[in-house]
Amino acid sequence: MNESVRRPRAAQPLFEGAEWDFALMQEVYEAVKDVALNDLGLDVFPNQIEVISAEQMLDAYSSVGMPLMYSHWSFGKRFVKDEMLYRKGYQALAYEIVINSNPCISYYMEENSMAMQTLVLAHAAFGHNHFFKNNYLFQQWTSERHPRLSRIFQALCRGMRGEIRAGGGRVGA
Amino acid sequence: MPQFIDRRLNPRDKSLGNRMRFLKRTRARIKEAVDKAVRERMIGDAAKGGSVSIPSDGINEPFFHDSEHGGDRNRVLPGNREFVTGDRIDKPKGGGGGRGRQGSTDGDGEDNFTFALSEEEFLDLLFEDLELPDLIKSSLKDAKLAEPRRAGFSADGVIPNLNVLRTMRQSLSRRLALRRPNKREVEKLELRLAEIAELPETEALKEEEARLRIDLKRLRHLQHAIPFIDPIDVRYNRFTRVTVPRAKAVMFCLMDVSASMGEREKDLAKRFFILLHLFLKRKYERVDVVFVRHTHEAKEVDEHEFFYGRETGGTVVSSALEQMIEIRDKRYSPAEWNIYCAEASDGDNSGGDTEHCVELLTEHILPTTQYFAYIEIADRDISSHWSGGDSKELWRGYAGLAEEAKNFAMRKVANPADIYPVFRELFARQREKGAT
Repeated sequence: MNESVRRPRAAQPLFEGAEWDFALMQEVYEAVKDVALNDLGLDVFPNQIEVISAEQMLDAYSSVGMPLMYSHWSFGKRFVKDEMLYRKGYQALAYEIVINSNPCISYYMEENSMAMQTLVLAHAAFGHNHFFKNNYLFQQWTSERHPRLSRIFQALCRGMRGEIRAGGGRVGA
Repeated sequence: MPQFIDRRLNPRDKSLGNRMRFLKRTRARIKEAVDKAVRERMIGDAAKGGSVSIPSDGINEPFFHDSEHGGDRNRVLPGNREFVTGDRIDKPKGGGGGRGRQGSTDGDGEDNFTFALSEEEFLDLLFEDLELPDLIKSSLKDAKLAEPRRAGFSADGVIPNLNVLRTMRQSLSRRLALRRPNKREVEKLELRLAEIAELPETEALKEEEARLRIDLKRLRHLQHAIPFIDPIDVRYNRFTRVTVPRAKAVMFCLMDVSASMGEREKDLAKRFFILLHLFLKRKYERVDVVFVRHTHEAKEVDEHEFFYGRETGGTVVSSALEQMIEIRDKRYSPAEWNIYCAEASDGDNSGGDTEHCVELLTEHILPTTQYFAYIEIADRDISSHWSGGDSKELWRGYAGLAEEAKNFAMRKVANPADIYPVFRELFARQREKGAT
């Protein structure tokens, strides 16, 4: 980065200590956004920022990160395994999950410290987001006409209708 | 402007459906594992839930992966003492097909899938299709009890319900509102007056003294006029009577500890008691256990004494029943407690006493007891399927009762492995009886 864009050091740090709250995250988001858009010139989808608990992160793991997913026993199996690894301390959980969609949805763990939230905000809400929006292959999924989530949702509804017709639990069980 | 959403407020157990599906798919296996665990482990531990291992067949997910035979591979390996840059490593000469034993990262390579069941799930499986007799009746219909529950505060009540914290808070806010002078303010003025008295007299000081005296008089007056605690400050805890299901059960364990009961007999009896206790603990908020052991006379003892104490003497079963009735009358009113009773004995009784036992049971115990279970510890060589023949004294005496009374059941047990099936049978049998 050249000298001209270098901004003066702020008189006050944005935050001190590890505790975060939504107001602070909002404030930090604006600061990160300023750097991302003005200094780095990133081009991003609007962000949807969701804070989740460890259990919800495990849920997300078991449904391969998708916000909506059909039910299947193998997801239950994954959940059981991931949960065991997590509880025994063999495996830490992700700090964040980003979904390639418009708006760009990202999940943040509640256990993160404020510094970590800042890092993952920059990483996911701007880094990943920029890539999602500008990769030419991803664009066919995330263009306005085909919002990805609603497609998944439609497919899910079809699947569930099928399952109900088949008498509950017959499909995939 | 980003949208912030707090997803932590969402309902929990989003993937419960998945877990249920997984449990359903592996249910038979898990049930087998649970039953095996119960048979093998000490029963105190068995109840703790925890891990069960199930064979992984049926839950394998096929996936594409590199063949271990054939094909060329290029990999970058870190190297070690034996291998340096440029070395070629021979393919392992694997005999036969099949993957190695090493646990692959996704658990597919393992022979067993270890499943951590919660205590809840574990016991659900353990007690599957068991139902405690008359439980529905007593817990839903007549097992209601009016219980006082805290319900805020009130301005009137009795002294034992006085809420000091609330009262003081009221008092403080009233004193603040009315500007009652506190002790420190008064002391400050008094101190200053004392100082002035020491100093040489001047006009200014005289004037100040006069002013202070007026102030002090006013403060003292206010202190008197505004009481520290006024009757209107006083607050009491308020209680309302709420009808709650009766959630208390007491379990009487009666055991014959006369010379004819050896270590094996006591161990069998213990396991039965523990299982019954577990079952009650699951159904009721609070379960009291009363241990009564008897020889020719009965005594209430603690658990350790019950199972390990040594005592010799004859055998008079009715003494234990009498003791139980006495304790019940003293401490466990049937209006408040669900009463369960489990008796273990080797079946011996002194002549003529059995009739007395039956009488005590029919007239005093069974009418107020949810359930009375009698197990007879049979000799080791007798299978749990009793084939009649030479019954012991107590068994013959109780046999009539078992047919008449709905809440009385009796079984024979010969081996540790018999306990659990017997336990199941006890309650299953009872349910059939209830249904007819």
